[in-house]
Amino acid sequence: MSRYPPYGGATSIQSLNEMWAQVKQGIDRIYNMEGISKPQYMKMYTDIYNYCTSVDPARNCVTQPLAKKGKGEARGAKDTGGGARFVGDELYTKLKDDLKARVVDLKRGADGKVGNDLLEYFYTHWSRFRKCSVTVDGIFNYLNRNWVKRECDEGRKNIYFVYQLALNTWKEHWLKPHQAQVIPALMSEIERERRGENILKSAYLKVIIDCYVELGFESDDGGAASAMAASGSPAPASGGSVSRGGSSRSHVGGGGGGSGKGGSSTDRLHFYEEMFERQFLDETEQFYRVESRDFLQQNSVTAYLAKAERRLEEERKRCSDYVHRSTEEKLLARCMEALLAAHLSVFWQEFPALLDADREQDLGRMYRLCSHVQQPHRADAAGGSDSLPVNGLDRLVELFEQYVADRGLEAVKSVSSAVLSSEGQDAKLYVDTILGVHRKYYNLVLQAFSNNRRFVEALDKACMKFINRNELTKLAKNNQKTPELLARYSDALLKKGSKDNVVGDELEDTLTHVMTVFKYIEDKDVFQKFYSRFLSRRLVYNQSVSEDVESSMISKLKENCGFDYTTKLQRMFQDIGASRELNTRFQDFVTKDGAALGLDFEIKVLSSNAWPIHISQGSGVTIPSELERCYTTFDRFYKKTHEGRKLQYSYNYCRGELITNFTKNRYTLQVSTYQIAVLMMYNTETSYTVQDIAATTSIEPQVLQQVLAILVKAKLLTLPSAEAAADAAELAPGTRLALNQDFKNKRLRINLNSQLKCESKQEQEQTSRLVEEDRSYMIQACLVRVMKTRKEMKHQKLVAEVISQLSQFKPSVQQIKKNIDTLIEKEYLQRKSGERDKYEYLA
Amino acid sequence: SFPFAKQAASQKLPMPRVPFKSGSSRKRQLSPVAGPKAAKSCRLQLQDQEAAREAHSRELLFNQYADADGCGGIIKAAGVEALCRDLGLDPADIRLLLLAWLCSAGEMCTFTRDEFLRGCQRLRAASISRLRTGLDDKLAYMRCHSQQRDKPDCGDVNADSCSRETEFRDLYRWTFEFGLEPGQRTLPIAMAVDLWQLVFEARPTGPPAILPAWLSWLRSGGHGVRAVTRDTWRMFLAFADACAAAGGDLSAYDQSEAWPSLIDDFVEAEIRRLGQQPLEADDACGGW
Repeated sequence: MSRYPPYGGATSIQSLNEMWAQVKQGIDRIYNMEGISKPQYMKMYTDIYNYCTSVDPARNCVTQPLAKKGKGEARGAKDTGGGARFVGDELYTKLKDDLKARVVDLKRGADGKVGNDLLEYFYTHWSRFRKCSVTVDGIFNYLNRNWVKRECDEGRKNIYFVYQLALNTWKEHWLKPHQAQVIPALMSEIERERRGENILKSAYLKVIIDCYVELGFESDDGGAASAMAASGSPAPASGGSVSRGGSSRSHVGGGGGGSGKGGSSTDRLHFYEEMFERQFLDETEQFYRVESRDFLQQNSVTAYLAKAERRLEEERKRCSDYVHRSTEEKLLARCMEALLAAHLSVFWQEFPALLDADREQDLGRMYRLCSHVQQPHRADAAGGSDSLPVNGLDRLVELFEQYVADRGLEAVKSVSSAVLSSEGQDAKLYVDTILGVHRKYYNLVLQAFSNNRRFVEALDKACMKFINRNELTKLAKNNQKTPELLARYSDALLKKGSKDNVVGDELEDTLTHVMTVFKYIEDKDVFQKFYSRFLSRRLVYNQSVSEDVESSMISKLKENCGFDYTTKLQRMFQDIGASRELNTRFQDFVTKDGAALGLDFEIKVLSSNAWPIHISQGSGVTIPSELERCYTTFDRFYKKTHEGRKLQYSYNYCRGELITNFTKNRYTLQVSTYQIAVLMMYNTETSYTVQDIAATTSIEPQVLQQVLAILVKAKLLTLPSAEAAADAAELAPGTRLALNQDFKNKRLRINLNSQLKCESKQEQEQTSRLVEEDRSYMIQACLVRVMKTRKEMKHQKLVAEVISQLSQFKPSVQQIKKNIDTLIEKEYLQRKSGERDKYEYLA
Repeated sequence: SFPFAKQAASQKLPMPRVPFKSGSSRKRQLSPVAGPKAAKSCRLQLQDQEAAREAHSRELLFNQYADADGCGGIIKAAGVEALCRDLGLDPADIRLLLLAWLCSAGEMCTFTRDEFLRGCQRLRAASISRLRTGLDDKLAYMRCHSQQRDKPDCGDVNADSCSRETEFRDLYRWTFEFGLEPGQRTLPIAMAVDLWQLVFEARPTGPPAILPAWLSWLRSGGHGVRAVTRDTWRMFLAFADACAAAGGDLSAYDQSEAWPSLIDDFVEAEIRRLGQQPLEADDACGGW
């Protein structure tokens, strides 16, 4: 190491040219890539140090305020001073001129080059220059840390750290003169890559584009210098970081202090954005505008979608490959604008066709692409289509809803006449049709639309539309047909021995499907009425496939509609359980009483308010004496334990079994109470007139006709031969019916108990009447509930509140008004005096 | 089924002319002086101005019509009939409704002693002729439109017409209660129609324009309603006013507002009816 020269002005001035000559040699070696050894490096560093510290103390007596910062430096800084400033200035100018000469030289080498040549030249020389400048910066570290820093702190313009000085020189004397050639060359490279041609290594492009970013540190107004002035970063830190390429960024990045960092980083990108990015984005958009237009003219939309998706992926990759990451968002936005937003209307046109063709993948792609388009679409760019909605998905969702509703209506229409005309109405066909449509589009939403919330909603709305009002309900002239048929279908599933029976998990699944449809039903109360009617029949006749499945179904309903919805259904189950117990106790009672009944007797006691069973008029019958005792005994038994309860017998729900003694085979006949009453008569005589039978059994003529018709049809009773031929629709009162002594049948158990026609019709009417009544009660209860809490309420708010609270059906405003009228009349409510549209609750 | 028609209908006798229709009897009631008249039905000469004396004569007037057998005294159907005859008024006359209203009568065809005396006192009448003039004046007062007022004592025209409107509203509300059969809460349609027809005769601004359509729709029975509720009765007045305010244009009517549903139904039917008329006319023209 050379010794530190003694302080002395004369020495320093004298040695500048000498020293510079030596240092310049070193710099030459560095920039020529000849390499320097460590001692050489140290020598140059020391020379510069010595030069800078050899200041005439007489020239300076001002202590630099910033010198206080570093302890180690403090003394040195005190010793240096105004002299050093002067000296530093000279050295800095020399260096600056030298760098300029080098860069101008390099620039000259690039003159006349275009395209790839230029880019290659740029790449090679820029990378070299940059690397070398790092070393040079190291050598001039002392100058950086003292003189340059001080100058910057004092706010002097156009003074840079050495590395930055080098970069700036490059920018001013190489890049700016060649800008007009570099950018087109870059653009054409990128375009060639987009066309799929071979290009320079993308690493080249990356270096060149990064150059724009790196050179952004200094705007021409000296912003970086002033930023440096504010910097409090300690000198050793900045010195240490100079050795890396990123050093210049850290110099500037720290400039504004913590909060200013973001601001300075956008400043830094400003150059890049101005020089490169803007044009890049414009070119990109233009490119895709042209490409997409041409491509769409010659290819299908689906092919286009695939291409667009690929293109977006490519651009994303481009950003990670060589374009600065800050550009990605902007670039993709512009690409989407050109590739997607401009063609949305074409997509929408294609959408139904894709749905028609079940092109799940293409639909998924369209969904993904359209979901990217969020901004309002610029109408001018689309060329004609100017009234477009804001979001790319909006219209797709709309179209989807309409499409599903249409398909649903079509599907239902195609089966509706078959459903209604078939015996007992083919509920299964109907429900399956609905489910088919739902399942198809449910899967589509899941697969193609990644279960997007808005598509799920659209599907729900569409289903609601076509399930509640469709060709079938129109044909049946009944808007509540769907809930009825759904209830029928569940009955078919849950009833023993029905043709739609399935078992085990499959049954559970099918019931889940029923619930899917159920969720879409508006008139849930109608479903409930029918369901409870069918359930009552299953329970009374022991026809349930399994109690577990029944209760699982009920808990499904409860889950959906709440406790109230299923109370009655659950009550029915309780009654059946209680009746089982009751029968055992009754058997005990009979045994103890010692009064054998002479037959098996089972009874179910059901609470009339939970069961939809009605004692219809004209369902009475005179019980044959053989049975009479059962009833009286039971009455006695029951009254003993349950005083004050009234028992009513629903004969039309009763069934019995008779065994034939008159035939060779002993047939077991499953018959209704009415049939028992009729057949038991034949124990005394073998032939009666219709009139006789009516008189003895006191069955209503209308019912009796049907009862007898079944017995005649089964050939248990025979008509006189003359009338058998006529096969009259109605039996005359005088007709004589004889017991068929030669009765024969293939089976030993014969079921003769089919439901009577008038009964089912009656039940239907009763059900719809009940629905109406219950709705009134529900509305009134709801009105009172709301008014009780609010005390006072405006009419329209009240109506809206009631509509929102009632989930089982959709009440009409008129219905609600009628019930408000009723409540005013019943003095639950009154109009607030002076305010016509306000009600008060009357406690 | 006019309020008093039950009795009057059976009696086809011509109403006796009111004997005293002279100008003197139409003087303002403020002066208690009564002319020396010997009313046919009144046996008392009113020579005294004392209230007690008048009260006594009213008492006698009441007794005259009160059913003989009514313990505590009450004017029943026959008494009302006689009263009508003596007043020279049709039982279905608005003035009888006014009388009942001023008596605060609780039931049709019946005046209790208290009711009758209260009414007479309010009318400052102690004789049948004074009763008649009182009622005539009351009606004239009720009907009198502010523009036609020329009497100096009518005071502030607006305040006056306002108070008359208030009085009418009171009459209107009371009429519903009056029309109810004992123990009932609603007014049968036929009764309601008659009362509506009648009560508006006493309105300062006359019967509302919508009334004929409303009544004929009610009579037509297309609504399936048998009786009118108190709420509907009361709201009809507001409805009629709203109609008048809208210049009779029903299209401005909003079903979602708090009107009783019977009025909703009426408006719907009325709009349909009005909509059909021009259509039918067009058809007829097309035929030509």
